[in-house]
Order: sequence, then C-alpha cells, then structure tokens
Amino acid sequence: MILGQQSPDAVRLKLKSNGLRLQIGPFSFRLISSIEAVADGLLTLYHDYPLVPEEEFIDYTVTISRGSGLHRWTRRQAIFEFDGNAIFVPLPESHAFPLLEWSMNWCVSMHAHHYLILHSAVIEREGCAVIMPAPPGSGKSTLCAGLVHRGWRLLSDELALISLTDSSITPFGRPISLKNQSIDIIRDFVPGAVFSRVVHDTSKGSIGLLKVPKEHLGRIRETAKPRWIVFPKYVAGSPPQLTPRSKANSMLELGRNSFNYMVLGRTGFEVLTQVIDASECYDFQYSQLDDATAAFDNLVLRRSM
Amino acid sequence: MNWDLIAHIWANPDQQPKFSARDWEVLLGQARRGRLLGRLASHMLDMRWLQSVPDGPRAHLEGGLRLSDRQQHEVRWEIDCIRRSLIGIDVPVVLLKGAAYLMADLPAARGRLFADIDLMVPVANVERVEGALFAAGWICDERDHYNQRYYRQWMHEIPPLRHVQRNTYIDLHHTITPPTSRFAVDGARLLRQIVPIDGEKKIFVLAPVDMVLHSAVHLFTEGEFSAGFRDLLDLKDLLEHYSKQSNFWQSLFERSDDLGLQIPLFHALFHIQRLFGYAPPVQWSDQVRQLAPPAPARLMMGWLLGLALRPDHPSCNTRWTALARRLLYVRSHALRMPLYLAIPHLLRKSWMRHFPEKKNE
Amino acid sequence: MLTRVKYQLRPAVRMHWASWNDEYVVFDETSGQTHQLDAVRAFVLDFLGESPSDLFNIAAELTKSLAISSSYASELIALIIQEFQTIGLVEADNS
Repeated sequence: MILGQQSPDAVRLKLKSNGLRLQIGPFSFRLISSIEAVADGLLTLYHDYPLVPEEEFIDYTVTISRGSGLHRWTRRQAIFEFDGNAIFVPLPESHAFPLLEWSMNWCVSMHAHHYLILHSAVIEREGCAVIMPAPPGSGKSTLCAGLVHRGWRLLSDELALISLTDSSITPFGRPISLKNQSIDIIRDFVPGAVFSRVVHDTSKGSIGLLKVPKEHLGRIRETAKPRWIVFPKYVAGSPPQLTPRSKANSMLELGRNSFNYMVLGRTGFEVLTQVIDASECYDFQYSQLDDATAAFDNLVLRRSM
Repeated sequence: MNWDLIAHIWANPDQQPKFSARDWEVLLGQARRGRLLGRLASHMLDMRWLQSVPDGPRAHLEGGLRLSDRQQHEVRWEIDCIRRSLIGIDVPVVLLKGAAYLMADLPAARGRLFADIDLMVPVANVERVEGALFAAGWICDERDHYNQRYYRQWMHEIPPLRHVQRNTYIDLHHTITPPTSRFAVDGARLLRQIVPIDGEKKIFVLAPVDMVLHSAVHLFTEGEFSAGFRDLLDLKDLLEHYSKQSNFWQSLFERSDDLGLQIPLFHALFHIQRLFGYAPPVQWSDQVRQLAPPAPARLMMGWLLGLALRPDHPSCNTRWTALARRLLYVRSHALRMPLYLAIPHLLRKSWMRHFPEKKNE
Repeated sequence: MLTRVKYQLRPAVRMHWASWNDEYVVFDETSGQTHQLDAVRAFVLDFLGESPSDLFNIAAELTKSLAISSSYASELIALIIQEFQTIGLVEADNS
C-alpha cells in the first residue's frame, strides 16, 4: 500500500500518534510530528512511497516536535529528536518540513555504514550512473532536477549509497531540494513540477522540495553501476565545457565529499577505488540546462560507440 | 515502555536474544545512547548469533562493528604518536581507561567506542609532558582563565589538549581523582605499581587492582552518567578477567583499604551483582560487607545509582531518572571539591551557559 | 650532502595502493590517511616499504629507475622525506 491510498486525515492521525511508517529507498522510517507543515509536505511529495507494515523493523524513528516547556506556546519551534536527544538547534516551526528532510539525511549519513555514502547527486540511464559531487552553490541540485526530467532516472540528489560488496549504487529517491532562483528555473524547465510550500529565510535561503517522478519510484529497487563522475560548476553565461579530470584527484575529492569514508577504513578505500576504476572523470562548467542535457546525452552516446 | 533490554543482554549473556522487530528497534536505540552498539554487535558475533539476526537490525549491528573496528586502528595510531612525541622525556606514561584496555588487550576493549585518550604522569612532570605534547601539535584550547585555574589548581588533570591536525584529544592526569576529593589518591602510590606494555618500558598501564579501583571510583564520582552502564560493564569485564589471577581478590580488598576506596568499590560490586549477577567468590562475602557505608547512605546511593546507571534513552527513563541524575551531579561535585568551592564553581558554570563569551573581533 | 641516516616506514603503517596512468593514491590503514602521490613520491614510499634505506641509496635508485639526474635526485629526496615525515608515514631509523 502507498501513502496516497490513505486518507489525508488518516495520515495526519498517524503522524500525531504512533508514527507514519514509510519505506524510502532501502530504509524504513517512522515519522512522528504534530506540526501541520510536516503533514502537508508529506502529503504533497510522498504520495507514491510505500507504507511499511506494522510488524516490520524500522531503521530510523524521526521525531519533529515542538519542544517542551514554555517554548511550545511562545516561540513556535521545530526540533529534531533522535533516540530521545535533540540533534540540531531548534528551528522556526515554518521550517519544519525542510527540517524533516535534513533529519532523514542525518539519520542515514550518520548510521548507514553498510554503504559508502558520498555527498553527491547521482542519476542513471541504461544501467549506468553519473555521480555528481559538489559543494553547496555549485548548482548540482538544479542540474540533477533538470536532468531527471530529460531522460535520466533519479537515484539521489544528496546521498549516493555505494554498496560495499559490489560498488553498485542503490537508489534513495527522495524529493530534490532546491534553493532560491533554482526553484523558478526548474518551474520553467519542468512544466507541471510539483513543489512543497517554499520556505523562506532558512540558513540556506529559500527552499522548496521537488516531487520525484512516479516512474522513478516504481524502479526504486533497481541499482546502477558507476560509470561517470562529473564535478559540475554553474558559471553564469558560460558555454558548456566538459573536461577530463585526474582519476587520482577525483578519488581524493570523493573521499573528502563522503560522510563515512573515514569510518570504513580499508573497505572504504577499496570500494572507492572500484568506483574510480569503473568511471570516467570530468569537470563540467555550464550555465544553461539545455546545454547540460545535450552534454550528458553525449556521454551516453559515446559510451555506446 | 520501560524495558531494560540492554541490561537483559548482559544479565543473560548465554541466552540468544529472541526479539520482535520493535524490541530490536528499542535495543538498538538503548545501545546507541549507551555507546554500546559496537559492543553489542561484538557480543552477537562472538556468540555466533549475528548471522541469524534479521536483516534489518543486523545491518545496524554491522555498522556499529565497522565504527568500533575503525576506532581501534586510530587509537593505536594516536598512542604511537604520543609515544613518539615523548621520546626525549624520561618519564613513565600511564594509559588509563579505554586506551589501557586496548593496549593491554583486555576484553573491555572489544567493540569499544573511544573518546579522548587518558594519560597519567607524575605530578612533577606534568608541565614538561605538556610542553612535549605541545611541540608535537597538541594544544590547550581552554582560553577561560577561570577554567584553567580550576583544572590546574583543584583537579587531577589539565584542560583537554587537542591535536591541531587530527582533532583528537588527550586528557593529561597526575592521579585518578581530584586532590580535593573525599577519595583523593596520591598518584605516586599508583605509579609504584604500574605495568609496562611495551618493550621499551615507556608506556604503562595501572596494576590490575588499581585499574579496577580507578574504574569504580571514576564511575561514582564523575558527573556524567551517560556511559554509566557501559562503565559498569567494563568493570565487570575487568573483574572477570583478573579474578583468574591467584590472590586477586585478596589484593583488591587490601588495596581498597590502602587507598581509602572501599565505598566506591562497594557500590560498584553491588550494582554489578544486581545487574549482571556477577559476584566475588563466596569466601569474600564478609569482606564485601565490611566495605559498606552506613545503611541510610547505602540505600539512598543504591536507589540513585540504580536509576541513573541505565542508558539515557526514553525507554529506560522514569519520572525519577532526571532527578536522580541531577542529584548525583551535584553530589559528585561535592565529592570532588569541598562545598565552599563547589557552589561558586557550579554557579559560574551555569551562568556561563547563558552568556557564552563573545568572540574577539 | 646527504647523510647515512636510514629512514623507514613507521612500523605502525599499513599501506594500500591504487594507481591510474602514473598517478598514485596511497591509503594507510592505521591512521586512515589517504594521499595522492606523483610517480616519484610513490616510488620513494614503495621503496621504503621494502626496507629501510638512507638517502644516498634512495637517490641512486631514483636516478637509475626514473632516469633523472643524480643531483636533482638528491635535492628531491631530501624534500620528499621531509614531507613524509611531516605527515607521519616515515621516520628516521634510530636503532
């Protein structure tokens, strides 16, 4: 059964009582919150995600609460609690839904050490994946959101989950987080794009989350092999430039952009080596999404030759 | 729900856990909070039960193992770096707690999560050692003069030293309890019995009975109880391991008399028996009874500690738990320093929380 | 002038290697450090991994295997050993 098959009232009730149980990629979450914005966001974006049956094990219980004491009524905050502990500083209640998304990322990146977890977007076509690591502000999420509506399947926009046994990539498939002008760019690029309510004045500016195409969720169990590593960089007015990049240097950059490379020790090194072995590495500078679409199409074409 | 699933595991270590999915969720949460995930996973692995744990929880246990395995490497590296930085200094360096358990290959190191590295050196050499560590990259971050003075004047340790590149921490001590404490111990007496762990006789650990007594007194005088259950487990491990040595119990009771640590030892043994069913051989029962403080104090402490020494997880907390922890925190400060010193110190600490120092522009 | 002091890998080090097109990445399992090395540095580290050696010897090997001049090799070696000492992979053999 998927979330969309429950009535909105039933969903809200579950969130306020013993939790909404959702399967998201390979992880199961129990989500608990009495904050309306959380329910709204879930109902908007998570329609097609499966619910987890009652008797099954839940990986991570995420509570977004209002906090205790006077602040409940005066300052209207949202607090992420895990194992009974507040993890981040309280945020304004209006940020509760982005907070939920960041909290789910935190749970996975801090605990899921049966994967090598890279801080990058990853998309797939014909069984082959492009890993796009990038620091904030490089335009990775905008690029990811665009390409995912031009023939690429979304695996993840934030956390690449690399298997430790065969270095394949497992989809996580969460809504794509977009900031500021990117939101408008994608509204133009993708007619009919569905966003959560845009939240302003966060530490990262204005944030909206983009709904994942339903067909992608239908293939959430299909893994992919790493084939390209592309370091994107948005530069206003720039023509598309795809330039080959040192493999060794790319390996170090990926390691630096990993949440748990350090934890995995030798296994992390060996798996990352396999990923680099299998992949062509590039820097990609661009300004127009259409240019990017063409450049990435070209990658796939060249592979087939 | 108030299930002490984690205590159940070690109260019945030979019993393979048969848990529902929900039980596993609660157990993993308790283990995480108690810093016991790696230890729990190691236990399951050693008993050959890990493969039959259902997939969902097993992935979490294996994740915990990876983390603790990795840390073992890094602690060894850190200790090697410490050894090298002190090559020119002819001073014995004693590892305490987790670092000692690891380098002495003790069972308590299995699946352990480490934090700072605790070292002990003779009180007269603290400055020289601090200087040598500084030259090798460990700096003292503590800028507040009051805190600096608190440490150096009243405590048995200097403020934590942080390595500039690796961001690892060393706690440098000259004895095992604060000099102002009711249970003050002269470091020199411990140094007379230290045991080398390397061929060069540079790195040492405490004698077995001293290691046990340190663990006992640390548990009951420290303010932070979040790792209390884990510390009790460690202590049980130490007792089980060392009681194989002939004359161990005799030496332990004599040494506790010698150092004035009978009361912490009593409380430790009491709770280890209550939680794990482990007790000294029956011929020592009288000796154990003689360690005890008068009845009212004993009962009160027993109740307070019983509540506080559980994992700090919602499933284990009762209405009384937060109170118990607060009382113990105030009490432990009283044990460390006389009241006339403790109250101004505590006041200042809570004041500082509300008005963090502004950074100098 | 290069002395006859011998250098060795720190005994605690456990190295693992990866390479592509004359670029090298080395991982030390104990400290968890990962480094990117050029061919010369990789050569030196690997050489020391075989057995302790003094700078003369390493410089001579470099000159032979990588076809560089011996004076350049000497300068380079002193610099490289210093780098490796700083990151903690190599130490002077004091035995």
